[in-house]
Amino acid sequence: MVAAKTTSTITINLSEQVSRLLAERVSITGQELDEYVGELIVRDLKRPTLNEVLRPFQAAIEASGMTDQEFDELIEEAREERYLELHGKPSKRS
Amino acid sequence: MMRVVFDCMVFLQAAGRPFSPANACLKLVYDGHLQLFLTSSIFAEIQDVLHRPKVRRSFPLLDDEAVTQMLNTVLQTAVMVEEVPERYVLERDVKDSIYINLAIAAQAHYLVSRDNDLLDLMEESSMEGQTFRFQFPDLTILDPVALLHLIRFQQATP
Repeated sequence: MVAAKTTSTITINLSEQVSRLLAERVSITGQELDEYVGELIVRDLKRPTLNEVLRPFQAAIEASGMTDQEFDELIEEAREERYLELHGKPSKRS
Repeated sequence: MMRVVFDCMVFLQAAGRPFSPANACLKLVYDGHLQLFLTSSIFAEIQDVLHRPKVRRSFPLLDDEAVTQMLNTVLQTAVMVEEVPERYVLERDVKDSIYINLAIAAQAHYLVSRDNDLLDLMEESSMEGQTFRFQFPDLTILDPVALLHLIRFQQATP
């Protein structure tokens, strides 16, 4: 038995400019409009989210147990240390 | 589209803290709702900070692969500005001047920071703030929470 292929229909309101650009793009690719837009949606859905991409970095930060304030202080100290190395004087007015 | 600049701290909070307001701001960039500008010297600063021994000791699980992946994400989401003339010097903390100068060069609407030295430039009660706002009336410096409120307000306003 072959499974029934189901699709859904959506309505999108587009500005005149976007509609024109879309029509131009579709005429270049030679695709049907719904095929082209459907591909765009699938491509976007396949893209990992920001936090999926950043998960290893976030896990390392989280594991430190550092508070936001401690994190800010550490980064500010590191930035100041770098400035001092590059310029030979502190960046902040005393 | 709104044009924004993030300072180093906002970048790192955004990347490292998944539930932070800064992360919500970076998501808006990643999803194409905001246009983020960056310059090579700010990228070098972020890169340098993440490789400092002091920082690595504080985050023992942080390895080069995770840092590279994070930096690549930053590079992919931002528009690089090559020429950033020095139009303004922030005397209180000169290392923050680059963010202001990038925002001016990129004609950014917003510079996003949690640093009081930068945020105080929006204070109309100080001479420094008044002068800055007079010189650069199109630039607003605000923190991530304020940016998110502003975006929600704009979305809710027809």
